[in-house]
Amino acid sequence: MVVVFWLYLGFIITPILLLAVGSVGEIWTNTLLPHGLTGRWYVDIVTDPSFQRGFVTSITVSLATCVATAIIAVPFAYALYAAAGRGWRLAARILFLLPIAAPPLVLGFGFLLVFSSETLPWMGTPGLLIAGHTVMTLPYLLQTLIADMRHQDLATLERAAESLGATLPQRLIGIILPALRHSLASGLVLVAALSIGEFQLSNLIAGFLARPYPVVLLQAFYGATGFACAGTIVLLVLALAASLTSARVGNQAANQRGVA
Amino acid sequence: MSLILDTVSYRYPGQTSGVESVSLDVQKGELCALIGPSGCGKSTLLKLIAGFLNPDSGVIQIAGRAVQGVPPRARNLGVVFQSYALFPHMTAAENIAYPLKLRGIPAAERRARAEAMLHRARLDGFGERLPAQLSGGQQQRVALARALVFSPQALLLDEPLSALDAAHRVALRDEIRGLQQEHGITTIHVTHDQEEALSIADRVAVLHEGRLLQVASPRTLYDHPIDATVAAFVGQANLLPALVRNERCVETALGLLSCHAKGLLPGSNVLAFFRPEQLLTAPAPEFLPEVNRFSGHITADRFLGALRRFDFDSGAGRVLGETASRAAITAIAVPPEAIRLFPALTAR
Repeated sequence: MVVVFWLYLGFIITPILLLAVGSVGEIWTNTLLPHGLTGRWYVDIVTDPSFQRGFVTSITVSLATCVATAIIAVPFAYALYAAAGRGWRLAARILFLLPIAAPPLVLGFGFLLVFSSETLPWMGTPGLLIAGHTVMTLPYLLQTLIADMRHQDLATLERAAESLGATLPQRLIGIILPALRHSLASGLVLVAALSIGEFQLSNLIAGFLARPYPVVLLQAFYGATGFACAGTIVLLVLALAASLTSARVGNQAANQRGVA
Repeated sequence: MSLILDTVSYRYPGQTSGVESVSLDVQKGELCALIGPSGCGKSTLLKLIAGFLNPDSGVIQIAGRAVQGVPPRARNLGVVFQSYALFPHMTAAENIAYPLKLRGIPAAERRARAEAMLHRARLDGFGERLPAQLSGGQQQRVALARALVFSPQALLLDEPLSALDAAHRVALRDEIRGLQQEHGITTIHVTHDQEEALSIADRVAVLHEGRLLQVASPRTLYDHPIDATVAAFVGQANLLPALVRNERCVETALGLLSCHAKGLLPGSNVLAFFRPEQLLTAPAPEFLPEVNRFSGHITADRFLGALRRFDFDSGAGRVLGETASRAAITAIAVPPEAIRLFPALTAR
């Protein structure tokens, strides 16, 4: 069991270590490790206009995706949570499984077919990219929110607020949203992390001038290895930072709700 | 403010559970406990009064006004939930002040009234704590304070003590009663704990399978249960299947029991009811009256502090007894006047 664990860990960590080493190596061709030490690949990444554009696009798309998922997910999650019928519960389960059952490639080909037409000529627009990321990440946020609603027994909290005299808008603003703030924050950071790292769908539907960072990064692998490694490390740091923030926000929420 | 339920019925969609034709009149300032086994409909009845469910038929009146179609927020009722339902993102003081905020009361007055309620609930110094930083008992007191702070027309308590340990339950039920009397507020207290109900309620209503069986003072309910179901649910009871021999005697597994059986047809099946503490006990038969006297031995002896509860086996049948005596018991007697006869239970 321990051997399997270390093998698995090695399998994951070794490529990351090699990327980190490669990002500061001067030359790396046909050797186990690179020769020389340099920071110029990172300077090249920062000063490269296409990478700058890709970075800005990724951040913009990620933020817009967060806003869109938050606007859709909160009422949607509440409707699914409140729906007592088996049909709705089944619909929710299918929705949660969608990102796993239907890979981004499938969604991308679908988008290609629909939005390359003259009627809907939106292929390559940032709006379509945001829509695609929203569709892909929405189930993750929904799942986080619904789990928290169940955990907190939101229905009873709402009943309590209603019995105290709160109207629906008052309950939404005063009780539901504040009670969900931690899971919403945690879920949105997860959405941001997924959106920043998304490649498959973006590669199919992004326009040339609005390519997100991972798509631009692919081009780097046709050039210098060190440059590609540095670009990948930047992406990794961004995604890791987002994931760790998500986990931290989740832990804070769990600690706050723990009974003293 | 009175609270009246007139033949109220409700059935959950697609289920057989609910409440059926329940009529109840709770007077101003009265504490009425609703008791019954799990699934008997007591929480459903509370939800109907609070407005979380709408009755299929019947009328609910609060302060003389029918509340059919009136949403929960407009009923002006204080509700304490089993899980307390404190808002996790608000401090104890903010939780208590929340209903005042909804009523547009200025912040300074809200704070003052919340502080006053915290003091009355013995929670001075805990106002700035979040619910997660309070113990179960403290959370319960915050929930009660929140339900009382806006002077509601009535208070509805849905098993508010069930999540607490035994020691806290006893202390807090007295506090609930104290606060209820202090506010003079009409209260319905749902509980499955009969001891809790008997100890603090002015009247107790027993629900069984959605029907109200009896509403009476705790003493009447205990001493004069209306039927075998109530007798079995309220307190400890001996209910022995019996056959009426004549108007002075019934036959049980224990043996012949002298009792008042006038008006019952000889040969009819009944249940002979008496409370465990009504048994007379002695170390030898000669210390007891001859009527309904049985010799035997104890098969289970439970020490409960001030008293002991025991199973007594006469060789022919078993009964449950209670006594403060710690002496040996080899004989028991059942006073004829302690025995009541109920029709044998049919599937209800």
